[in-house]
Amino acid sequence: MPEEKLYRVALREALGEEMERDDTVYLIGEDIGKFGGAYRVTDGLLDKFGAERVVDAPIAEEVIVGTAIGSAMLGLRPVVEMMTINFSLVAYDQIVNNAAKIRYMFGGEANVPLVIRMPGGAGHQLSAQHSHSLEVLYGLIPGLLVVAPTTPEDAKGMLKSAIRTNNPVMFLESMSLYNVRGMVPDGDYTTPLGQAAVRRKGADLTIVGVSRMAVLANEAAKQLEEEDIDVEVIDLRSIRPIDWPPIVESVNRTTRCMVVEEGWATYGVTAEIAAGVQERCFDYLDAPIRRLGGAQVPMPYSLPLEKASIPTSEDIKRMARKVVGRKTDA
Amino acid sequence: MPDVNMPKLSDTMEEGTVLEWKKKDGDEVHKGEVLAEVESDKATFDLEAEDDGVLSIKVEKGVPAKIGAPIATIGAASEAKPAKADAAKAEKPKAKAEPAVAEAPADDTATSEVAEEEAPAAEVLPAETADAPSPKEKAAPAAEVLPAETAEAPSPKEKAAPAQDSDGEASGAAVKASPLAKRLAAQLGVDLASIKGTGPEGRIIREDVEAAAKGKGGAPRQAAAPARRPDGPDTEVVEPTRMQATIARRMAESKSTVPEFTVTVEARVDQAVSMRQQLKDSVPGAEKVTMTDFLVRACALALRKFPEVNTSWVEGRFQRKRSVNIGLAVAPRQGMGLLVPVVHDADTKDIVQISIESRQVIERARSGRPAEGDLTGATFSVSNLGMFGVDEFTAIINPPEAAILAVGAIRDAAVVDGGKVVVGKVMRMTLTVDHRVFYGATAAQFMAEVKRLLENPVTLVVPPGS
Repeated sequence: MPEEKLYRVALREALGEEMERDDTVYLIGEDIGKFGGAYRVTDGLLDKFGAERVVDAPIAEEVIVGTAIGSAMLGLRPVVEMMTINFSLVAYDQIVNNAAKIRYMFGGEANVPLVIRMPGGAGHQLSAQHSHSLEVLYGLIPGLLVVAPTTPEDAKGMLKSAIRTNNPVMFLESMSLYNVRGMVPDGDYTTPLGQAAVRRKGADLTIVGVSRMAVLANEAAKQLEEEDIDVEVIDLRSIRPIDWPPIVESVNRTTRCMVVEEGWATYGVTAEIAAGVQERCFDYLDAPIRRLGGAQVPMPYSLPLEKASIPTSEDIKRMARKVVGRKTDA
Repeated sequence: MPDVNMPKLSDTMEEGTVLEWKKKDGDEVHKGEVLAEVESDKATFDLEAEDDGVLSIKVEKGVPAKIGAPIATIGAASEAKPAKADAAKAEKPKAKAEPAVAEAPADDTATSEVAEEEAPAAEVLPAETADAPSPKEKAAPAAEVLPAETAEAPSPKEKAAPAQDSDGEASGAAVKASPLAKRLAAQLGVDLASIKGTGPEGRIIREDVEAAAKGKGGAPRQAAAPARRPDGPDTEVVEPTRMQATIARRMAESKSTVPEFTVTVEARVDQAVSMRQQLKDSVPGAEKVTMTDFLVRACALALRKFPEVNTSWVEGRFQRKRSVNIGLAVAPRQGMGLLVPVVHDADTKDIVQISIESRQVIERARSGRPAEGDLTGATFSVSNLGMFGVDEFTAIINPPEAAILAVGAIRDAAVVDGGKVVVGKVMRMTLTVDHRVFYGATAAQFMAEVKRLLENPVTLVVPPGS
């Protein structure tokens, strides 16, 4: 029987099952073994698979990713945990210059079957340096697959796909989604990478949500129903490549589009989606495409200010009303 | 990258035209999906994809293309290869950073600067970060770059207003309408300047155009009294469809090159009418037998008997045809035109078979999906306008056939039968003949045979060969 599971548990299951299935799969990261992971995703895996396959690494992200890339080139399937996406910046050179480029530089003779898991997002009063949503930094780089699952089912299915592909995958989790519950199918299943998911059908407006914002967009859509605004919600899921057909099909039908991300919208994932929709759907648009992103400030520590800096479902509703041309009372 | 080529759909087809692309440029298409509606000289066909991939259209609709010419390609999905560069074109500084608190009035003009919309958040900004000059400095230059809506702009931007006037033609010359509304307006013939927009910032949106189009449709009816002449020249120039162009060419060719004469006979068809009813009532498969089916059968038998009628004149010689293939002139289901679906080897088929086959071939032709051979190879044609109540008429030969039979309506008439005037059912038929191929006496004998067969319809229902 499929049962409800936490997002973090779904991830843990994916890791455990893949490690059992394929003994070239191993985990490396900070505090993932004895401590069970900063977000408890790898809890219990050290006991089960031993220190050779669940490697507690020193606090040196560049070394962790470099080690993983080298071992991947030589036939292992490393799954790196960056404690948070913020620390991946230390390893950015390894990711951009090596993980993404080695297959190309070696003329296809070497692969980098590497997964880098990392949570992003804000909302936990971790202040400016530890609250980033940096999807776009990885979405920018050809040679990487970049995904952001938002449901426990997708978390497990997509992590399995990520481990099984021979391409380097940036697996973007969200700190705020680890405790989300959702139905997870039984047994071994995979969810394809590179595909968006239509979470809700609607006729008036298409909202494309990136990572956790797809979840908020769905909440907003439910509430907007009461105002007679029928919203279609697309969970982008794959930041690179972008799955255009469902988005284009949807926008051509609803004639309106809005894109939401937690990160900064300027030069953001939403910028790319909006530009692409405009190119593909110009003659079908009945309103300008609108984007919603986080406040363009270093994330404040102050709780009220932090809350004010992250898009909420209220913000999504407010912008949705504008896009469809409803008068806003607030 | 497989090409999609203009298919050859009939013997006489030299070029075709895409009437409508069913898929758009850039659409992902799958094998077997209908890509386009293609029109040949004879019919329209659905063109199906033979591969999966992304459609790239090379020839726009309405533009003729030679057969075999590539009209589109089906390529790999653009994102399939990681190596392929994404076209990241996010250039417009129209980014919308809507922070949670503000119901920012300057919403539409907002650049990335939080300062414009969100005072409290702006205070959080370290004032001297390299890329972020202080909020006040920034607002004005940003506004100059943008063709912004002045109406809602707060004071810092008013300075920029003159620049916008020259830039954005705020004088009222330009009509603000969504791309969708513009496209619809062009399609529905609605003048955007005459509409008031109800969308955000007064933009004309789809609903406005649709409402205006409805109003437009209703208006002339109310003001019916003085017949209003439409603006513009008296004559409207209408492009022919490919089918119409082909018909025009071939009919003119026929009339100007074929020396023709006509022979008319009147047949008593009382028996044929009752025979038809009997067939419909009691013979399985003959439920839909028509008088045209009787004519096809009669002509087929007569053609067998007079092979010189089943002949063409080609480059100074007779071409005698072994098969007896009878074309049936019918109107297409949509639009103006003429189709001639063909019942092949009609002389070898009985009336029921002819009935079933002619119905199928006509249906396929009318639906725009003829099978191979459905529209080719006729050696003789029948045009029956009886169902429209026509008494008689003459038809134009469809070269290289040598004759065509034009059939009028069956009507009740006073006929002399055995020295008495009685009420009978009569039908007039006129044969148009290519005089190069056969002559008056043959034409008369042929028509006498057709008449004889129709008047003795039992000859039409016996199996072929008996």
